[in-house]
Amino acid sequence: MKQHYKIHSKETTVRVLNTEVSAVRKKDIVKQAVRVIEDDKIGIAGAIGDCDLETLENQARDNISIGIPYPYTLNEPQKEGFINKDCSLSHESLKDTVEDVLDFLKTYDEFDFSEVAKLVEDRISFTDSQGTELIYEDKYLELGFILKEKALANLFDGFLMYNGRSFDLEKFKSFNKEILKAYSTKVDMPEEKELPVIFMGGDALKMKLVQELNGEKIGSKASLFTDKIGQQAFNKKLTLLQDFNPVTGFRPFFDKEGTVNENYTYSLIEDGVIKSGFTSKKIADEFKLPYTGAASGGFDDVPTLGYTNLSFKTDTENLESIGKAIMIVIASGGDYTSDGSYASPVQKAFLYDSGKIVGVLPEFQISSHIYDMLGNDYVGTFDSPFYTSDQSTVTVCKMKID
Amino acid sequence: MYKFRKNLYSDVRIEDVFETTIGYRNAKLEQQKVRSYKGAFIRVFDGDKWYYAATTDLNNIQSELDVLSDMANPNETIDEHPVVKAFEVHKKEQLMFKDNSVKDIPVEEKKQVLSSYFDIFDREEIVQTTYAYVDKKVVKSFYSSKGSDLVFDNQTTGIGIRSQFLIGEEKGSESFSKAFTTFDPLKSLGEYFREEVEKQVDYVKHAENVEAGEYTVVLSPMATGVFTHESFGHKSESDFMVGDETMAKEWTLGKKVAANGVTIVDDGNELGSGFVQYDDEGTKARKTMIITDGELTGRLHSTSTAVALNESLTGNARAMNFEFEPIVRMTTTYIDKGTRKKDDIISEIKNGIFIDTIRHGSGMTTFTIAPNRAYKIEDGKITTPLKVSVVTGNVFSTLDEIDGISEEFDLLSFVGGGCGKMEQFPLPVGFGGPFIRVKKLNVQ
Repeated sequence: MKQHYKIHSKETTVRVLNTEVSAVRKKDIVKQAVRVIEDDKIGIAGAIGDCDLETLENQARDNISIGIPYPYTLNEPQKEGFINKDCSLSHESLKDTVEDVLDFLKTYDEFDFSEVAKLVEDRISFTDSQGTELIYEDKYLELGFILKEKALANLFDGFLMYNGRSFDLEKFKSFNKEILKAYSTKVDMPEEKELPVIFMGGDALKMKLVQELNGEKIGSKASLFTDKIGQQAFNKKLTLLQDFNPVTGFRPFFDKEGTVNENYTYSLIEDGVIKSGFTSKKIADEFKLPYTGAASGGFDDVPTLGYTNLSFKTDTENLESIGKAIMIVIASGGDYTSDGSYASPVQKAFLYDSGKIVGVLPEFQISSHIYDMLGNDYVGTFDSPFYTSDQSTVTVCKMKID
Repeated sequence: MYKFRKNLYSDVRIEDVFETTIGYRNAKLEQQKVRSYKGAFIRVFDGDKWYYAATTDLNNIQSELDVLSDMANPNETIDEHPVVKAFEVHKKEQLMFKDNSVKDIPVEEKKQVLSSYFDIFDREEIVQTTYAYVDKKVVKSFYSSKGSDLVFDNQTTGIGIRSQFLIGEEKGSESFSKAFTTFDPLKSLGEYFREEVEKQVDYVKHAENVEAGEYTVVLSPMATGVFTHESFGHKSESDFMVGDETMAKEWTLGKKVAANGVTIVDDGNELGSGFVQYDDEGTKARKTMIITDGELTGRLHSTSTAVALNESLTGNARAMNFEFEPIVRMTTTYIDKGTRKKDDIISEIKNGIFIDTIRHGSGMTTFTIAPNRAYKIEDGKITTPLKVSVVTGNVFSTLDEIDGISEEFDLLSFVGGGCGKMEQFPLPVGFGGPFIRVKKLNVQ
C-alpha cells in the first residue's frame, strides 16, 4: 500500500503597522510525503519543495527497514472532495481590501491597529494506491489586528478579527463600531461574585478537554476522565464533537490516516455523558477503544495522536436572554490543575447586557472547576451573533469573579 | 550571484536545513525522521513598504526578486534611507558546527543515547512516557544589495521526555527536557532525569490544593526565566513601541523600573536554544543590558526599530524559519545572578510559595506563570507540594517587588515548544537566571 499526502499552501499576507500597510508577503510552499505500508510496517519519506515522487517512494520503501510497526486495518478506498470557491477575494486585491478596512479604522484616532490580514489558499490531498482520493481545497481570509489604546502603555489592548470566505466590509464596520465604542466606554465591575461568562470559541474550556479526552491518556488510566466513561459527568444539554467539518474549521475533513467520519464529526460527550476519548488507529487498537479517526502529526510523520479539533454543539438559542454577562476578549495564561480546578486572569473583557456590549471592564480573575463550568454552571452554546467569522459559536458558563 | 534592482534595497536569506526526529512511546519506536530541505526568504524595500516572498524553489530566487522589485516603487535616494544606511554589511563564512555537525552522527547513535534513559522511567508510578530526540542544523546564507555576503550556521540537539504519573488516585504529568548546541552533552543526563522523576513522584503523591491569595513567592531559575521572558522580555521588544508615544514615555531609557540589584540581559552569544551568530537581517549578535541595577538601559531591536527610536542595533531580528520575515525577538534572556544564598533567601519567609517547574507563561500588563510543581514555604523551609492553577502579577510593579536574588544561577534550553509572537510560533529561545524572591504575587 502506498499513500501520498500533499499540502500546497499559497498565501498573501498584508502586514499592518500603526494602521498603515507596512509590507506585503507572498508565499507558495509545497510539502508532501509518501508512506509505504508493507508487512505491517510503515516507511515514510517527506520533502519540502518540488521533488520527484518516485525518489520519495523509494526512500519511503527503504525506511520500512527502520521497523516502525503499522499492523492496522486500512480504510476502504474512498473518493471525496471539499472544494470551496466561495471566497471572491484575490491575492492581487487583498492589499486594497485591507486599505479599505484601515480607512474605516483610521477614523478611531484613539487607537492604533497592527498585525496581519492573510488570504490563504490551501489544497491538501490524501491519495493511496487502492484508489482513495480525498481532496480539500479552500480559500479564506484571516484578519487579525491587535488594538492598542494610544493613551495606555500596554503591549496591546484587544483584537479585531475575522476568519471566513465571505468578508463583508459593511458587516465588519457595523460590528466593530459597537466594539470600538465599547472599548472607549469604561465601566465598573458588576457587584455580583458570579456571572455568566461568554467564551468566544471556547478555547479556555476545551484546553482541559483536549488533554483529558486523549485516548492514549484515557487508555493508560492517566486521564481525569478514565473512570467517567459512560457516566453523566457534565450538563445534560452539553454535546462535544471531534470536529473535522471543513466549512467551520478551515481544515481537511479527513485525518492523517485518511479517515472521514459521518458529517465529519464524532461525538465524544453526548448529552453530558462521556462516550469516548479521541483515537487514532494505533491507540484504538492498543487500548481497545472506539476508533474516532483523530490521527494528527506533521505532514511526513507517522500518524500520531496529539491535538484534535473539538467543538461544542449549539444547544441554546437567543444569547440576549442570558441578561447581564461578561464577554471575554483576552484571558491569557490561565490553566487547570491536574484535578480540574481552573483559574485565569482576564486581561480584557466587556460587560454584556441583554444583547448589548456595554463597555470595557477593568482586569479581574475568573475561577471554577471543569465539572462545574460544564456541569451545573453551564449555560449553553449559542450561534455567535458577533461578526468575527461567517459561522461560529460562543459558549457560556457561570464563573466566580474576583 | 543575484542581480539586485537599482534604487531599491534587497536581501536574500537561504536556509539549508538538516533535522532529525526520533520518537519512542513506552520504549517502542514510533517515529524516525531524517530530512534535509532548503528554502529562501526574499525582501525588497523601497523606503516606504517592504515586499517579501518565501519559496522552496531556489532556482527561481532571481525571478522572485524581480517580481517583488516590480511591485516596489524605485527610490533614487534609497541608499540614504536611514534604515538602509543602518544595515550592517558582513562578508564572511563563519561555520561553527562544521566539525561537530549532527549530520555526521549516525541515527543509530542518536537512538542509543535516547534509549539509554528508558530504565529511569520504567517504574510503577509512571503509566506512559514519550521520548523524543531532536536535532536541527541550519546553514544560513545572506546576501544583500548593500554587499552582505555571509554564511553562518546554528545547531540544536535535545531530548524531551514526557511522563504521565498515576499513584493511587492521584494523577499528574511532567516534561523533562534539555537542549544543547552539540551532541555529546546529551549523553550525561541520567542524574538530571533521575532527580526530576523522584521529585515528581513525591509531588504527585503529596500535592494539596493551594489556598488562593497573595504570597511571597520564590521562583526557581526555570520560573525566573519564564517570569523574565514574559513579564519584561516582551516589553523590551521595541516593535511594540514604535509609533507609541505613551509606551515610549513609560519605558524611557534611564528610568528606574525595577528594584536595586535587578539586572536583565539578552545575549544571542549564549550557547543554547537562543544562540544566534547573526540575526536574520545580517546583524551580528550582541549582549544587550536591558535593565542594569534596576534602571532601564536598553531594549531589543531590528534595524527598523533601532532607527525609529534612534538607538543602536542589537541583533534581535529573528524569523521562525525561511517562511517568515524577521521581527524583533528575544535570544537568551535572563536576570543576572545576585550575591545571596538561595537557602538564606528562603529562610526569611514565614509563609510563602516556591515555584519549581512551570507549564507555560504569558505576558501582557498582567503576566502569568502556570506552575507544574509548586511547594509551600513554612517557617523558612520548603515543605508540602501544592497544586496551583496560575500565578499572576502586574508587569509594572512586580520587578520592583524583587527583594532577593541568589548567587546560584542556571541558563536553560529546551526542545519542543518555544516563544510565540503573533503568527510566528515556536521560536527557540533560552532563558533562566537565579532563584528570586518576589514580595507579593497572586496565587490561585
